[in-house]
Amino acid sequence: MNIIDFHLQNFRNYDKEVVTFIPGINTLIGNNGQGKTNIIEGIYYLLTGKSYRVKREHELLKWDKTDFHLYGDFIVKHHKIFLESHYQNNKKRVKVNQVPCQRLSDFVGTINVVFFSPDDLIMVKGGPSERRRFIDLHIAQIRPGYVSLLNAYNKVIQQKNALLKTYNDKSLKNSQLQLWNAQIIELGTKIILQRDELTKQIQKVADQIYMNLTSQKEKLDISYYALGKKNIQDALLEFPDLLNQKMDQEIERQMVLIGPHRDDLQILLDDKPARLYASQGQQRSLVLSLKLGELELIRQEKGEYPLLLLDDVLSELDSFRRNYLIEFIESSHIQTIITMTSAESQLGSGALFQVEQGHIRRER
Amino acid sequence: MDFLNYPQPLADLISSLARLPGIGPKTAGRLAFYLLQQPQISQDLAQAILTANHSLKKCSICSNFTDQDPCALCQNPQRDSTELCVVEHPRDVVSLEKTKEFKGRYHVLHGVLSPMEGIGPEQLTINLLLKRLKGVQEVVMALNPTVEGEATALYLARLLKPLGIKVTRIAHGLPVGGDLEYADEVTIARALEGRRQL
Repeated sequence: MNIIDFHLQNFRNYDKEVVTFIPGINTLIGNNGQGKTNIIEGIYYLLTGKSYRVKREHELLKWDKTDFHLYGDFIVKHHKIFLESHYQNNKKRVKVNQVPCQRLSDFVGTINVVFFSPDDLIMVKGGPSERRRFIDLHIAQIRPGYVSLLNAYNKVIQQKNALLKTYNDKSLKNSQLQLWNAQIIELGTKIILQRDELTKQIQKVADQIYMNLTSQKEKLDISYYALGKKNIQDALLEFPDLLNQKMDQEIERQMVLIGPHRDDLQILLDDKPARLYASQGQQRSLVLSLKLGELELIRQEKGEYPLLLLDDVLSELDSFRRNYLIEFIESSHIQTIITMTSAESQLGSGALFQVEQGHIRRER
Repeated sequence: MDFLNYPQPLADLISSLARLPGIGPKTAGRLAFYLLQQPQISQDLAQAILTANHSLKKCSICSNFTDQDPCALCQNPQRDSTELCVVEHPRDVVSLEKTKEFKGRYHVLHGVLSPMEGIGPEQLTINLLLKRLKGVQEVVMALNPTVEGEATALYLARLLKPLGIKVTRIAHGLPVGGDLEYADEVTIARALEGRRQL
């Protein structure tokens, strides 16, 4: 999957700019606040319909402007795809090859993208929601339908939470909680099975990458814990009982306490929890392994590597990890867009762009 | 809001129209000016709304809107009183009647369970439903395939099954005459789950 050219209009600090990328490594350099990350954010937004930085699209507009326009030419399996996204009056319109796209989910996932920034390090030390987000975003890229499954599940959780907050009559509440529990089991089981399956796939490839990164010294082990249990079959068998057992506690605390919305991924380095014991360096190797693992899995599923966006990541890696990453990218021919503040490191034969106050100039 | 620039009666008319579903402030303004220029149409419309409001009530048996109580469907001796179809809104009865496939009787819930909107079983017409089960052999749930619709169907199934009544649900899946190509993944997945042997 390749991006050929990318146009930005009234997006963030850009008036009207175009960048033409090469199939290999594209490096964007420039001082802080010049608009390097905005290019990466724009590409991510065009491909996923979302920004990873802001919730409201309004904030993506250039100051004083009322609409922004992003478009670009892509190549997927030798097919040319022209993708456009236009935002105006709180409405977003997406066109694929000039044809309006009714629903966002119709095109999301056609062109895959893996994004890596220093913020991703929170995946190791942060709370379970960060790790669930990682696995959910990954599944959403390769399994159409997963997003609507998650949305339906979240709706059930909201309804059940609302129910827990309304009634005071306990017997009435019990019978009605059962209704939502039935759907928590039905939809939750599907979510758990998919997360477990994809976690096992990631574990396999990421472990290999992590071993290479640490010269075979350390072992990475990632597993999905459903309902607090590592054995998924057991967890699913006990799901109805667990929901019943928690009911009194749920009524008391007025919130849903069990289900995949509270699950976690456990990451072990040499059998020790990474959340507690991983050093700064180990965290970086770990997240790098997960991201490269994700690249590899998307290739296995789709037959092509996705686009790789690295936002200010290289400065965070030591020279050994940096070289490993660059070698991985070059030997696998992954189209990559990298931002950094200066061109001190050697990045192969790729293209170099200078970004200055909303203008992009190719240097090499 | 440009309401302030209108005389009070006109502003009131526009804001009343804008409260209707599917009508935004601009359409409301256009409708209001049209009504002012067409006094006869306004007169007829106002009369029709008042008459409908005064003469329509909920049927004491099925809760559908009707001008006579019990409603025409409930009074019709041709309808099969062993089958009962439960729907969310009165307009769903119209949709089902258009098919001429269902020969039984209806029950309108006027909503589905939704704790977020404060709707529990007591806000729906479930008590009325429980009163009319004599002789009923099958209850068909024709509720929308949303999480709220599913919860409501399950709630009713749990009430009705112990009484020895067969509870069924209408199938969800592909629209007839539709193209597999144009259906979304969730619909196709649902349709696959509900596949039948040929």
